[in-house]
Amino acid sequence: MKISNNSLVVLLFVAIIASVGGTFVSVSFMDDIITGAATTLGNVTLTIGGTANCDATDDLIAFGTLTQGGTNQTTGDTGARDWITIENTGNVNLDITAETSANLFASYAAPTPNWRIACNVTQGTGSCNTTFHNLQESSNSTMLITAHQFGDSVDEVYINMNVTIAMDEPTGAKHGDILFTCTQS
Amino acid sequence: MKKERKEVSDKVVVILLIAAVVVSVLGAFVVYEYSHSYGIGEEGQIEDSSTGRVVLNVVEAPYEDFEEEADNENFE
Repeated sequence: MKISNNSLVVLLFVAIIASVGGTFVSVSFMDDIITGAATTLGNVTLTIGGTANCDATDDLIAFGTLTQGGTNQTTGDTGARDWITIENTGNVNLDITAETSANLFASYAAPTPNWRIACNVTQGTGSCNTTFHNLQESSNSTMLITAHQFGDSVDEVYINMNVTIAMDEPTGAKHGDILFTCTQS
Repeated sequence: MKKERKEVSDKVVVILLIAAVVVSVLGAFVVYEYSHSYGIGEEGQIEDSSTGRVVLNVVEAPYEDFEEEADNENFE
């Protein structure tokens, strides 16, 4: 069956009208979300999505020189006071866990009592787990704090480390990396 | 006598076809812009991560010195 040009023109007009009409319908539907464009009193209704964000603003603990068999930690009167600081930079409360991403010692891989971690203190009201735990690998990460808050002046939490050098640990410079995972509470 | 209808030329049909495509694409763009500016369909992030590092320098324990001192004391 051959379609005449006249029929095609009619069909094309219908297609254009449907397209323009569909656009108006879609935009009008979305306009229902926000009103007030033509009134003196605006009324805006919107929902801000929650975003989990965290940042280690102080991400380094330097213990300096330790002898084989020696120990040190970032809490107490005599230990180094060089905590890791994690800031909640999002807009929801966070649960923060820790796990190793690179082992500190050559002689013992995580989890080992030679490398332990704990929550020191938080600015907010989150539940800070101050008991030292062996740093785990990703399959069993350690919960450091729950419901860590996000508001200004309450959004920082300080993390402690405890290290013990094994007698058979080779001498030299060492570094270990920790991955902090921040999940919406 | 029945009047014969005038047939629209191919050129007009092509122009209308192009116009239909342009209008359709513009409509889709307008809808996208509206939905984007209102944040419709955007979901918040529920997880993030950050890293920290511990550094230290391990030196040998002075056991050999102690042993040497002990040997010297015994020798004396």
